Amino acid sequence: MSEPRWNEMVGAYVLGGLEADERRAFEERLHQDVELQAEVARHHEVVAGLAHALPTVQPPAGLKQRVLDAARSTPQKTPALQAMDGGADASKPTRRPASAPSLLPWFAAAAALVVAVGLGVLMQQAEDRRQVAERELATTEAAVAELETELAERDSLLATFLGPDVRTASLSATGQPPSARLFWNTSTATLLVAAFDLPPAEKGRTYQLWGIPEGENPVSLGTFQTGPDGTAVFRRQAPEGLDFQLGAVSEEPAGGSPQPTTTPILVGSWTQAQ
Amino acid sequence: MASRPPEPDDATLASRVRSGDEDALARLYDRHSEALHSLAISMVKEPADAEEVVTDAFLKLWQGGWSAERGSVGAYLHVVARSRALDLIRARKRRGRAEEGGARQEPSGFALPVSNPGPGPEEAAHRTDRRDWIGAALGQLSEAQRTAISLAYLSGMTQREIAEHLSEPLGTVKTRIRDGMHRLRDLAPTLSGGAG
Repeated sequence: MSEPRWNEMVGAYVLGGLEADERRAFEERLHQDVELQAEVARHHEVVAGLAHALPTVQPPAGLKQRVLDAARSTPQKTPALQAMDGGADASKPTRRPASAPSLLPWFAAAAALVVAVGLGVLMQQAEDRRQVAERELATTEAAVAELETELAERDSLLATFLGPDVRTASLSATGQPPSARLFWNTSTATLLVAAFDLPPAEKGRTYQLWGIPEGENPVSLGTFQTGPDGTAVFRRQAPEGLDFQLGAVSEEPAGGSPQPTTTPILVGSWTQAQ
Repeated sequence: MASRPPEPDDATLASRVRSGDEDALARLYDRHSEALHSLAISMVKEPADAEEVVTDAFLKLWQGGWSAERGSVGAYLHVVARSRALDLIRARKRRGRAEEGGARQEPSGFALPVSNPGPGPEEAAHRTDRRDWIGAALGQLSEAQRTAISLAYLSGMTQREIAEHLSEPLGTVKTRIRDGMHRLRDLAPTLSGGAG
């Protein structure tokens, strides 16, 4: 069977026009295709513009105050939740370890973060779903099924980074900040990345993570952005079969590059976790 | 006479919102609520439901859901609002409360003429720019392309459902959506710039 033409599916994807099986296949591809991610982002901007072509209906006069009142009574997510839920950002500083940290505290912290973030996200989503279900009873079964699936995924993620086939790498420039830690489960090709003291990339720029096989060109592992405090925590799926000895981070144009166009900011190699 | 400081862009305001700045949230509301409410009303029809859609979008922003990696703040709010509106539409459909025959309500469609700049000179200019662009860009599409995109955008129909609704071949609908969206993308200015 021939490979779908992913770029031709972007418009339908952002409009929600794909069937469930098409959407799942597209999203699997999207996770590992930087250019496709950029194309989706461009289409999202276009779709957002469509709202300006609709007949204008002014919001009710009191809605602004009701929104502000609702915000005032709604707790904001913790920085850790924002970091995982938002992909890369957190609003408060994350404590950095002392120099030359041992592996185990890092690993334990990452595992704890996965647990805390996973449960927190699930709790938030459960609350959102509960409110919808109160009004729309028929949606309850679907919402519960979705949460169970997500819980299973979080459990799986935790197991992934507690497994025996985990490598870690410390990425840095000179041993000084900024820095990053990579945890790589080689069995599942799953990466957990935590970056620290890395100022947010300028407008129109982004950070890009690379895996570099010995004697070969770098392979993109996707783009990311740090929060105002310079931290980012996220999970990525490495291309199947990829084995690389070096990890690196470079600053690239928004949307990422096929190959690094700047000198890497952070570089490091794997060590087997003990 | 002292000149006014430049208006902070959306990304700056959204960062402040994450730190609990209610004034920043109010300013983003001023910029985006009209478009979000117009979208919500076009999709869910009921004013109370539309209000809930708009409120949910801003609460997601308040809870730190946006990050620069997700694109512009406006696009993020739009995605959240549209997703919530589609939830409501699908829930109605499942409960059999949809219009006669269980079919979706026909979307009102796009308003191509540019009008109603809205309050405030800076916000009005911002909105008018977008209205100018999107109105002109939609005018470049065929009626069939606009119809297919409108059905997906406002009713949440999949391409297969649109094909059945219009009694057209699925391949034809896919081509219309693909070509129409690519055309809009090619005509789009840098929508995330400025206050957007």
